[in-house]
Amino acid sequence: MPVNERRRRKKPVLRAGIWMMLLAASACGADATAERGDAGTVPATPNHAEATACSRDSDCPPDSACSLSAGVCAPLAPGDQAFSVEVLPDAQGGLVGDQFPLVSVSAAGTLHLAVSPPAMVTGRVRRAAAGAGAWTGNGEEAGESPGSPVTGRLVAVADGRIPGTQFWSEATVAGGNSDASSLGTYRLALVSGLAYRVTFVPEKTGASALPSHSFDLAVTGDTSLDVVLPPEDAYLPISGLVRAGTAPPVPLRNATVSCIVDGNPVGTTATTGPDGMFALSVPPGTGPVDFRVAPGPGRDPFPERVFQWQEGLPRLQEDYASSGGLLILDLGNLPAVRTVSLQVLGGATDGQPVSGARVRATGSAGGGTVTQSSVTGGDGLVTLALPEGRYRIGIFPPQGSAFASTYRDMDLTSDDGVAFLVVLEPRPILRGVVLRASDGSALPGSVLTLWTREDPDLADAASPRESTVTVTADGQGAFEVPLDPGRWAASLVPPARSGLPRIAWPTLDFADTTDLRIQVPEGMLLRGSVRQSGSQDPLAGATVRVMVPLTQAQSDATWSLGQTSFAVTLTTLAEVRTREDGTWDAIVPVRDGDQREGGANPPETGMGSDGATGVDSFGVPLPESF
Amino acid sequence: MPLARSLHFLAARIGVIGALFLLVQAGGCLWWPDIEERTTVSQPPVIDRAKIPDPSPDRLVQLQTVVAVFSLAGAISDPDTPLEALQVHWYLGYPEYLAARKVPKGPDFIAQTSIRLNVCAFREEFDLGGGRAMLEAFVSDGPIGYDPDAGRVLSSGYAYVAWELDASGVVCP
Repeated sequence: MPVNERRRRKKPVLRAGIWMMLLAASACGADATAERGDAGTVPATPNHAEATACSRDSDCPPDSACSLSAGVCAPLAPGDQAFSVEVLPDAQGGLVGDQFPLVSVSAAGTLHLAVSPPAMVTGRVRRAAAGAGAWTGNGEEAGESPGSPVTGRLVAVADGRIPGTQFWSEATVAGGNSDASSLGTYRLALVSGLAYRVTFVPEKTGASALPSHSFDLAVTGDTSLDVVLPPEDAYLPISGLVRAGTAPPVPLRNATVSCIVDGNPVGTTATTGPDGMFALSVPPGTGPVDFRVAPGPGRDPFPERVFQWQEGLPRLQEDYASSGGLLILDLGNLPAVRTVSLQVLGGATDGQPVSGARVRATGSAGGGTVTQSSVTGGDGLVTLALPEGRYRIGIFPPQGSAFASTYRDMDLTSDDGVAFLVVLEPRPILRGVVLRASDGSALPGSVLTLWTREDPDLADAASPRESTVTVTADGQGAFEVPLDPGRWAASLVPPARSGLPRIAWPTLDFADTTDLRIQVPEGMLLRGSVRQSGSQDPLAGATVRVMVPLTQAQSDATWSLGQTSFAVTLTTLAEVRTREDGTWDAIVPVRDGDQREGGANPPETGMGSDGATGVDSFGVPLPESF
Repeated sequence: MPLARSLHFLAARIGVIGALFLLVQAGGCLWWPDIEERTTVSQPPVIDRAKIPDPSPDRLVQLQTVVAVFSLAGAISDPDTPLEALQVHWYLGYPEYLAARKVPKGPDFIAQTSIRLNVCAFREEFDLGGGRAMLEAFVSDGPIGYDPDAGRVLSSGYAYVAWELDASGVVCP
């Protein structure tokens, strides 16, 4: 065959090959592009559940605009919506943040904020001279009685203007290598107008060191303030002995002794030595004086006891003097400690062991209180060392376990057993589907988080434990999770590219297996800028947290908001960062019509569990059962 | 001979086209994937310590109030995972509890970038540490598991920060 003819015959093959390669390349490129778009751990959402992508307002339909932070279009917020907003500047910028409770959105959904510079409090911290009669406990009067400078840190803490938030500032009180003129000086940045509790924490620690000293402080601008600490002779040095038993009493080693005056949570603590001795300084103050004796780390448990001098320091001083300079804290006969084992099984006495369950015993023994906890092993077994007394045992299986938390009462004063079996009931199932409210399309990848308090009997106490359950909706927007019956709070975070806002409910009561339909309403676009007041310079890199506009009374009266760890998370509608030019935007839920009337109205209210006015809803529809 | 050559050429032509056809059917990635296919290794989240609001993790936190707020707001970033999809687990006194009880505890707070820590809810952990306890935060782009024997199980990229807390001055009511 001639060469030319062979080439001609090869051309169709070559053309076919090139076509196939192009097909291959395009197929390859298409796949790769799609995958790049899906980068991340959130499952891809079907197109019908995604909002219109954009990079500028002109990409969006009329009456909506582009969220540059989310890259999707959303309708602009109407002017009658109200929020609370917290601005947290970049920690390196020297600003301490600002808060804007119950602010209304301007026309076209804008919210421009100006952050005030901190109020700088400067001065020196000194210890008043011994016998300084002028000292009354208020730092500002201290200037009249100059004393020696001290070194350490000042820690200032204040509740924020938005319920559940807090401001924390610290300053070093110069010492060490500082020259004499700067010794004891400090520079503390505070938010103007807030009521701070400031504590001086001395650099020197140990038995011979004086304890921390706290005072209240509120400033409205730059202030010069010399802080004068109580004179050394205002503290009452105490030497003491902790004993147990009666025939005869014996020293108790490794017990912690804490002292508080007038209920002030900042006290002093010491640990007894091998001879049961301790030494601490009781700070000056009026009101009752408490000494609390508790087991120290690594020792057998004993009931915690409180010794109180109701009449305060003068009476303590009298008793101390009359006892010859040794304060004896007698615990009396300590109850015997019993090692108790519990086996936790699921469903029946021959059921499977429940591993990873937290077991917590709280109760009273020997006139004091005891708390012990541990975690079940793979065999469902847990061992607790408990002084003989009466206990409530809480058993909390981990998230995802098919078995429900429960409580058992145990009386070790009348029951001489050492091994107990606890059979857990099955957990009811919470299942449901997450849908876009506007078109009913599924929202795969939505994350539902539920929080509760573990012990309903402790619901009104200051420190109940909490537990959390999270579940992610599957490809059909469905979810299913075992859940303890009880009162829960919940938040739902839709997938990022859905253009939908995160929503939350402060109270969801759950009693039995339930099917839910969660319909996520469309969001609205809130945008604005953050500037520094005065200079008007844009504040870049600051975190803007848009929150439900609650009053302090509403927050206090709502079980999930008053004293929980998750209050801030629950009330946060969006958290974004400012761009280089100080601008920001966020997609937040539209509150219903009733909520919008009257401008900066707080959310709808209902009756709280304690009869006060609490919050039942944040203005978004509750999930429906079906 | 020409017939054999012709049959050989035909077979080669069918082979080339067939191979390319199969290549397309198979997903079309003969030389592309090494360059274009997305790598399955994801970038872990990052916590910028300098951006953590006070109290700072860079010094001992001497607690002076029963409730203290700890936050990672504004300090977390992740190049390839939306921040809403990151897992945040907080542990208080995990090492102290493990040393004393010989069992690992589960997370104390989940799914929150800011927590309000009530010291009096964790007296046991602080007591075990002689008034001090470690507060640890794990931020992960994958699930954080819990095993009763092995404790926390991190199967994906994560960032970590810890505060050392001193609550010896705080006395619970």
